[in-house]
Amino acid sequence: MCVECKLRGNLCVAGAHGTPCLGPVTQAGCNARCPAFDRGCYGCFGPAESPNAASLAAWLEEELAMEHPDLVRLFRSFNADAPAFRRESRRHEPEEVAT
Amino acid sequence: MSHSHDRTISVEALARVEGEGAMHVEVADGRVEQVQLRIYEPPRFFEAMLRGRTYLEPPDITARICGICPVAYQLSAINAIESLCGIGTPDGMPMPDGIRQLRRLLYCGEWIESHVLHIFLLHAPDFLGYQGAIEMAADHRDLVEMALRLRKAGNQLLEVIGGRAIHPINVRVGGFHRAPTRTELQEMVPELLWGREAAIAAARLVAGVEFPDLDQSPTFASLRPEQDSLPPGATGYPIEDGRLVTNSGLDVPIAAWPEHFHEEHVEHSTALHGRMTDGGTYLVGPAARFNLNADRLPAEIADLAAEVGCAEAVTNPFRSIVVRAIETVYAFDEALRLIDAYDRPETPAVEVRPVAGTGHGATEAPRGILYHRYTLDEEGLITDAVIVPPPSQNQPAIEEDLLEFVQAHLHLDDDALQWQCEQAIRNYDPCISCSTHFLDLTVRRR
Repeated sequence: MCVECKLRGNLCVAGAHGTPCLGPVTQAGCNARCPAFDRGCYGCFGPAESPNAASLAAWLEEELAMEHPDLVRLFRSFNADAPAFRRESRRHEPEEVAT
Repeated sequence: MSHSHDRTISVEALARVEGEGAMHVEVADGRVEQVQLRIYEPPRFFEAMLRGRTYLEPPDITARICGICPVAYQLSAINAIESLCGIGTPDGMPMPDGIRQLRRLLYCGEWIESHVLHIFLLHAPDFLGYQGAIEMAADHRDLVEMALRLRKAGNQLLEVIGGRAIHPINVRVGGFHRAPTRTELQEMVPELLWGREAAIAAARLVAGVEFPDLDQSPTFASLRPEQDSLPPGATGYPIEDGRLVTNSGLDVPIAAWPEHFHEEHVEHSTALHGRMTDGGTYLVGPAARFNLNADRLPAEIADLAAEVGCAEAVTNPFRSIVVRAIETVYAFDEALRLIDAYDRPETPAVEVRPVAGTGHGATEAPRGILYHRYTLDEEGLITDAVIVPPPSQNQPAIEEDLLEFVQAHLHLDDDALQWQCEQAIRNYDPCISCSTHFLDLTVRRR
């Protein structure tokens, strides 16, 4: 979805405001609505083609100090069972739950 | 699926209601023994899905319960959470006027699109004798075009303030992510002025159709804002907050909900049935709101109500279409007042810190009181959630209504009875979700 923010002229809410955003791994098509309203994308259009969710999660963890339970919730919402998001949410769960 | 009885009327799939439901009537010796509204949509488990989520997530998650009234879900959830966390409570942090104005304005947009949908696209075909709005459009093109334009005006409010007409994204606990500018709101004024006039014409139009006779005196329940909580210029017809009142004298804060109302499971429906604690049925929705709050309408709209035959309490459910039209006029009028008074908040949201405990919230969804209750732990995670939507509260009363109605109309032939029963159900605008095909009816009587 990042490309739609660029096309619309949105400021990057993750880079500029430190707001967690699923834009880099989410299917475009909404015209970047959420960042246009100063909030992070919550991934309601589902994963983009070949998303690098692990890289985004690592960035959110390192740069925004997001904790594992919050990462789980971020990836586990309206598209919790889409393979890319399911895999990523499980990676941040304690092992006994993940199995 | 329905069991064969000697005399049964079985409507397998109700048309022009939001959702999938059926009606089942049993007649013995010329007497209607039982009427069941069978809701067979599978349960959706939203309350369970909310457990373990943070106190900031319900507006996004619960919005998905309904595509027609997502704002109702968002704001009922927010009311519950903010009241628990000490925002906007008598001894808590006050909510800035601008945020309160935006919330009510957003909700006006939802009332408009929802009411217009029901009045013209779901309900009017009954009174004008069409199977549906598409067939109606062949003869009443202007009417349908006006309805679509009215809906669009409501949707425009949702898009500008909420960021999206269906499942708005700009609503959050504490306020909004981004507050629109005065200019952005002002741009909608011309269309809203048109909408108010068109809605007045629509109210006069629907008041002129022929209504079947049915007179009822149920318990009506609605919200009613406290007089001294009203901002200057507001008349306080209930939308996004208020105390819980009934025509039997109840007047309590929302937190007292569990003492007076409860839900119970019945075998024939996946939707729970709402009842009062004494076991009685009650009705929520436009008629209840109007009957309990007619004094809260601006004088001009009260005059219009009197002109279109609603000078007194509305006790014929078939006339609910007129009340929806009056409320649509009010929603346009209120939207214009709010835009005029809008004071853009300095920050779009106030900070809300989680508090462990249980919070209650309710708003007036287009179809009536929508109650939410959340329990949070110390970290602000939801441990329990309860959501009571209007249709489950109305379901037992609808069944009682139909029993009386069918009894009085047993002389009708099958087609006529089916037509009238469906119409009687649609009076309540039951929102189950979305169905468009017509139904099969079987009648067996001795």
